[in-house]
Amino acid sequence: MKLKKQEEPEASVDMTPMIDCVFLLLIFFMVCATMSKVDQTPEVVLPIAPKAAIPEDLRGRGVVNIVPLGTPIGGGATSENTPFIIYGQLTDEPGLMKIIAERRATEPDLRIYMRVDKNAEFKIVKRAIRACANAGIFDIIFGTFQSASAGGGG
Amino acid sequence: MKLKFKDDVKAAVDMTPMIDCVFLLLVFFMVSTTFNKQEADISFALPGTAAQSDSVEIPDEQIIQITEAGNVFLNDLEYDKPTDPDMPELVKTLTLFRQTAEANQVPAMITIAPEDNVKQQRVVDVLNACTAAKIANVTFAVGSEDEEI
Repeated sequence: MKLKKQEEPEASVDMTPMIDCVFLLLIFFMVCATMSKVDQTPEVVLPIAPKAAIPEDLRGRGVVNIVPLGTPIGGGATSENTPFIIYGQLTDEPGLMKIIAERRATEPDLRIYMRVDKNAEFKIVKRAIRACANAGIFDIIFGTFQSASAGGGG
Repeated sequence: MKLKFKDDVKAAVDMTPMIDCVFLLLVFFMVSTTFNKQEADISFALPGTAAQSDSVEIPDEQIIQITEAGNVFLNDLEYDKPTDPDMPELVKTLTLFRQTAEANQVPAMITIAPEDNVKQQRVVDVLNACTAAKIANVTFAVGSEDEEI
C-alpha cells in the first residue's frame, strides 16, 4: 500500500528580505537620531538668518546656550551671575572656561557653538565671547534658522 | 483506540510580534528625525587667529554700530530702518566696500559693536548682511576697557 503524505504545500510568504530591509532602515534612523543630538536647550528660540549655511561637519563643537535673563531653566532661572546654560546646567564665566579647557584637552580644534535666543541681550553674549577668548577659542559660531516657517518643533 | 496524530510540532518562531515592534520603532525614529528643524551656522572669528598668519598689511576695517533700538550705523551714517531684517542698503554698501578692498588687495574687515541691550536677532541681521556681502572677516568689539580682544 502506498502511503500518501498529508503535508500540503503552504502558501507562505518569505518575510526574511523584508525584515532585513526594515532592520536596516531602523538602524539608519536610530543612528541619524543620535547623530543630530546636540545640547539643545528647548527654551532657546534661535534668530533667523537667511544667508546662514547648513553645516556639514558637526564634530568638535562645544555648545553654549544663552537665553534672556530671568528665563526659568530647570530648577532655577538665568541671572547676571549664571547666564550660560551647558547641558541644562546654569553656569558663569569661570564654569564656562573650565568646561572649555576640559574639552580642549581632548579636542584641540574645538569651536564654540553659541545657541543664543533671538531676544537675548548682547551684553550676555559679549561676556560669553570674552570668556571664550580668555580660554583661547577664537572660532565662534552663532546658531540660527534659515527661515521662520516649517519644521515643527526645534 | 486512540489515534495518534502524526503531525510533529514545528519549531517555528512566530515573527509577527517582532515585526510589529520593529515597525513601531521604525516609524518612531522616522518621525523623530524629521521633527527637529535644522539649525544653520553664521560664524565669525575673533581677531586673535585671523590676524596672525595671513596678513601683514593693515586690513581695511569698518566698524558697524548697533543701537539698542536697532538702528545700524556704518561710519556714522544710518543704514536701513531699525525694523528691516534684510538691510538691503547695508548689503549694497558692504559689497562695494569689499570690492574696493579687493581692488586694493587688502582684506576687508568688519567689526561689529552692538550696545549692551541689543537683541541677538539684530546682531544676527547684521552678520547676515555681512555674509550676503561675502565678507568673511567679521569680528566683535567686546573689550572691557575700550579694547578689542
